[in-house]
Amino acid sequence: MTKPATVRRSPSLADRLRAFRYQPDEDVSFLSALPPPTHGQMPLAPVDAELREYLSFELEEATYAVPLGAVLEILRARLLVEIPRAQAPLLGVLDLRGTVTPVYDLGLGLGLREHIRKVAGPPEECDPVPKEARILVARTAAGPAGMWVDRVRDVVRVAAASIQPVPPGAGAVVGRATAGDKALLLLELERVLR
Amino acid sequence: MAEAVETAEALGRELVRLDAGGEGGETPPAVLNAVFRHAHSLKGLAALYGQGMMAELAHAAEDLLDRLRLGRLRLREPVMDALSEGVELFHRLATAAESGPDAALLARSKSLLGRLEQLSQVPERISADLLTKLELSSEIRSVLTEYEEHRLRETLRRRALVWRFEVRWALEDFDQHLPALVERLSPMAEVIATLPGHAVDDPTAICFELLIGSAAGEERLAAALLPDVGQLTVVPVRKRRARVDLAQLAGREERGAEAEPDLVPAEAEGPLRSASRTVRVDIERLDAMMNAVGELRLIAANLQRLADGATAPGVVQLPRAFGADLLKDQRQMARRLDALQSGLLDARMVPLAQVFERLQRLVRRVAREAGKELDLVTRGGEVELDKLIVEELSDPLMHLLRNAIDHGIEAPSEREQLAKPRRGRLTLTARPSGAHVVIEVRDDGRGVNAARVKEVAVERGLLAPEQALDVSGRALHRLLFSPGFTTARSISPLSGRGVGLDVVHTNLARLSGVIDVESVAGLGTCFRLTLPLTLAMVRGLIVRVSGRTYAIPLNAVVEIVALGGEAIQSRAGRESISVRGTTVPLIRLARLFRLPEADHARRNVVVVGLAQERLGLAVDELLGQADMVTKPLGERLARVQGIAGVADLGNRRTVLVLDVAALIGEGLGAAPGADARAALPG
Repeated sequence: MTKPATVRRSPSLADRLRAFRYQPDEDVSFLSALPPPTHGQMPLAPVDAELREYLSFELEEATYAVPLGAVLEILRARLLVEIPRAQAPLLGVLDLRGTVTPVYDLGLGLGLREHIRKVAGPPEECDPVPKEARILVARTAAGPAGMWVDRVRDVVRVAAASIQPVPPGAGAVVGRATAGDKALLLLELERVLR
Repeated sequence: MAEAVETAEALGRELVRLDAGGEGGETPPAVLNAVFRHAHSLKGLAALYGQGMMAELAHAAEDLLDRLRLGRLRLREPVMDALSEGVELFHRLATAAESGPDAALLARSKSLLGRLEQLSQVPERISADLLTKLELSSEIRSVLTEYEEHRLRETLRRRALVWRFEVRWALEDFDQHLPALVERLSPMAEVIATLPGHAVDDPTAICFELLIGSAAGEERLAAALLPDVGQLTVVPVRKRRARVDLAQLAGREERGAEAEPDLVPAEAEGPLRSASRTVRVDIERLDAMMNAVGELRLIAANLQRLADGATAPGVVQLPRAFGADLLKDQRQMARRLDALQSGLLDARMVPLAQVFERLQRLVRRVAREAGKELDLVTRGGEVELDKLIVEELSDPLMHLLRNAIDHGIEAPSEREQLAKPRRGRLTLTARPSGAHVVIEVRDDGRGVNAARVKEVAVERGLLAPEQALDVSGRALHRLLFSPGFTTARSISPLSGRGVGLDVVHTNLARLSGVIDVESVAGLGTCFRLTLPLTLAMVRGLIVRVSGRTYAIPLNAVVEIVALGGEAIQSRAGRESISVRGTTVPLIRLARLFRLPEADHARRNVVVVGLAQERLGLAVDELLGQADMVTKPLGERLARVQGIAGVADLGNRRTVLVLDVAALIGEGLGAAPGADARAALPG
């Protein structure tokens, strides 16, 4: 596996990369900018100072984030296997090393888009797949599920205390936070992928 | 019959050894197993050559020996006498095989048969069960066979110890390691049970848990086991369990090997070989192997394509000889794969008798509770099916039997009034039928009450009142399986328990099976289940519809016809075609799946069928056949209709496999509102 030369060869980083199962051609440069992971030290810290790790991504101009621990892998977006009579927001399925994995249009699920994108079926009938689009495969109670997002940004750490609650009824958005100059909308996976 | 004579002679020889060994009160299991084996082969031979009397005798002897083997009967003089006389009669019968036995010989055989059967029936008092003293988990206890339990008891009775250990071998050669280990242990220990071990993370390894009986010391056992085993545990009889580090022990063994006396009388070689030739393997492990074979198949298909390409005329980049070599290798690989695949499929097959026996007991109980008198007759228990299917079948079958007892069979007094025999009769039959097995559950009860079914169907909104008049026959019976009937109080006035036939229907559909009913008022009802032999790997017909590729399991394809557009009849929004005089409903897959429809002068129609149902599927193009391993859609996509799963055709081409049973349901209108339900996430 060829890795960009900027990736430092610390074992924890290698583990992390493996866990993500990056494609060889995937851009992982942002990971190298991360401080070393702090697993194992965390439980000793007081709860409100706890840092939570999120994976942030862009969707229709807004920035969202999901808990990093639930993300199994990030795939370059590709055309999917079409499921006849599928209902939105199901886009199609992927055969992920033998496990049939459904992929959902997250933008539609969050009410950001009106029409489902056409990314399954014969290529000539499909929308072009944007170069930066990714499929986040996440672990849920009912099995792995994929989310189609516009762009993956970063792994961010958010102090639990700094998460601002949102009024109930905001759907899958369960909190707001800021990372640098960006506002983040934190999503709860089980609700997005209901 | 020369072979029969030989077998009878061998039987006689072993019997003499048994007699000699038996004097001390100890019945050597190896000799007993050998005698049992010979009697068994004799029975087979006799049956094969139509020697009825001999087969019966051998069968009776085998029964008796089985009881001895399991410790249910002690080897005493009358038993020995009867067996010895049996040997003599086998000889005489075999010699007289050409001309047929004379009256005197027949009379002697009959009298011996009577004696053998009588001896088999003598109940043996079983002493307090030693086995309960053994600290074995209930998990292990539940999987031990009667023979294995007997050997454990014997081991304890001889005051030897039961040891337990785990071994782990590579999947590819465990079949060599296991007999080698048994061989090494044979001078000092008896391998009593080989059980599947704990799950291992390593997918290339297989783990077994062995129970052995031995009076030899730890050091000797450790030395014999060392290359394979890390830890040896005594299964304690009363006291705590001892754990022994084998490596350390083996070191001690080297120093003091001669000092250890051999306490166990050395048993004859291969103590258990043919009496217990089965190794229980976790079904998931077999599944994994099946998947591996499936992948190999895809590689073989790729190789084939390469070879075809390279041998095509006009190819200049590669020498033709290269292609020919490739083709040769590909053929060899395909042949081996065939052998491997059929071997694996065989390993998954188990006789239906396993389920039938369980059902017998349940039926008796249910009948008693319902106050019905009846007999359950089972036939075809020897028919084999995929283990997974057999396991999944017991619930639906129990549903159907319960249904027949509750609603079908009348109360004894009612039956007498109807001039029917007082005892009802339930039959459970299995028979193979091509790539399928047909199982019938038949009762001689009152039959389906058509008027009542219509009433409930109208009540539940499954049928418009004006439709009710037209419904009859199969369409009427299909109503029984519609979901609305689950909550119906009951079809019969008798019982309050509505048994969900739709659950049976759904369970069967999951096994790619179908169910059918036939019923005659007053005479009874017959439920017929048609099931595939195995689910593991199927051939698929690859079709193209509006630029999409789908696979149809070939075992469901009845025929393929090409029709002009005028051959399609349309009535009330439903289309049908006529296939050699029979009207078959037609579904245009493009229309059903809401895809752009292409215009064709002639259409290809794939006629699919399960049991008696037929359905035509209009497709654009037929692309060929392929082997496929179908992966299920999973929990999240459980509500997708008409798709059984996903298969990989090699070349990284993934296709959807159509769910023929569900499509037939839709084509016949049995699944109302199917279109409305589709894949919502979760």
